Amino acid sequence: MSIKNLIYACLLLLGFMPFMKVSADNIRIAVASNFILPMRSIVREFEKVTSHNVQMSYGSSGKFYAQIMNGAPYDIFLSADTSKPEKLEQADRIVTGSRFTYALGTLVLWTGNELLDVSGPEVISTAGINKIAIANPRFAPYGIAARQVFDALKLWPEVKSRLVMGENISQAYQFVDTGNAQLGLIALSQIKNRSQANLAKGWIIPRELHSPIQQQAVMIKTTEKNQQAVTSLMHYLQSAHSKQIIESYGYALPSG
Amino acid sequence: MFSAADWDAITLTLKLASVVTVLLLLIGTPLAWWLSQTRSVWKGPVSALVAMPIVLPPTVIGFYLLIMLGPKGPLGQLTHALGLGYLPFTFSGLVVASLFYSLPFVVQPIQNAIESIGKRPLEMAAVLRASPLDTFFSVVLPMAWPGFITASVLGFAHTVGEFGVVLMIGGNIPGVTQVISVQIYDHVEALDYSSAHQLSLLMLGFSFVVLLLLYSLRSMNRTSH
Repeated sequence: MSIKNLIYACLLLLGFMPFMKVSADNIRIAVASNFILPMRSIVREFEKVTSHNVQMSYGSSGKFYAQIMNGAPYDIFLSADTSKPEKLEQADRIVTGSRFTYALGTLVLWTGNELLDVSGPEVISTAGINKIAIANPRFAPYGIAARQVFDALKLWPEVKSRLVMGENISQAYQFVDTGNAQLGLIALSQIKNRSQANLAKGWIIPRELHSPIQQQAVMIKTTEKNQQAVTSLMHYLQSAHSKQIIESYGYALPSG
Repeated sequence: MFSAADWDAITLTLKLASVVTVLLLLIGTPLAWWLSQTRSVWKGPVSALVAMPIVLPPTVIGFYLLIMLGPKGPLGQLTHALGLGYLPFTFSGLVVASLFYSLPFVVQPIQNAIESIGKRPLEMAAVLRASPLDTFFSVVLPMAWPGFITASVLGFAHTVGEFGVVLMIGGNIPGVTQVISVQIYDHVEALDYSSAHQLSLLMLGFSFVVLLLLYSLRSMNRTSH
């Protein structure tokens, strides 16, 4: 094919583009790292029952907060805590009444080393554990909870010098998975559904040891014309089917 | 103005950049010399390898270093066997990572400077029976020194500006791996925007001054020729 023909073909294709567009709407959501796997399942189901497209961005809640405050084009924000959605509400950036708790996070003490017995907190004090990964306790919700767990177990002074901190819970997982940290306090959702063998290696942290990790979702105020589609996804997130998926990843659901 | 943690990050960053610059001059100079002189078929592949960090996302370098240097990686097993322990989450680990990351910024200016001397002075030195080492110190260094200055400044500045790689293998340990760029990211994550501004402004000023010096030096050098 000559260059000229190629250019004609491209122009022809460009001309057809407006007609190729399906009547479906695009929805952009920002998802806190710990909720990546369940949200993928929920979105897959949602896209099956509607014709809409959902684009997901993953990252830390703090970064998304800064981006949304500065006009990032997200329709929904699934935070890993309550403080950022509350702040967005105070700044009048969210659709009134859209803030709700979609899940309560669960922490797990986990290792990538098959030879290590991680059935309780005792393993933290055993020899050979010189790096323990957590999310940054200064701002990451799972990191704050991790610090509370160590405090409750009276282990904080002992573990402090051995901590390596991920910017978010995904990075903490990465440090453990690559074997660079022998232990990590990560989100149960990150290892659930990977394999049963994985689960045997973890100690699920009792909820009494930290204040609840309440994860809230909000609908961001935008000028887009996809409001209906966005609202239907917000509703879908609270449907019985979604709740079942959320629980299957090790989260608890808010009562009531 | 800066908190104690910020000062720690600043001194750590300067220490990292200084160590890396010195090591890179030691490694980069013979490499640049070889690249400028060789007619080997390996010149192309080696040049490409050296230049790769310019186009590779830092996340790729950080990701592979995390895996390679960890207990499951070949380099990690090597450093462990040598009694050096594992490098991720250590200052030495950041130095190794930065050596990879900043290598082209040191090698290329030196190589260009040596190449711009041309063949003739080197041939003259050979005729006068100067050893290659003697040629290097009495001909190449005096003629190509602006290239070395450029290399040092760029190597230093590029290491100061490093973020992605450090984020991947650093583990954010205060005083050990928590450099300025990571500290800024942390301030933003913690919604402490005023602290983020202070450190960011420092970086902004630093980069401007460094580049200004570099360009003034270049134009001075050009007019003196």
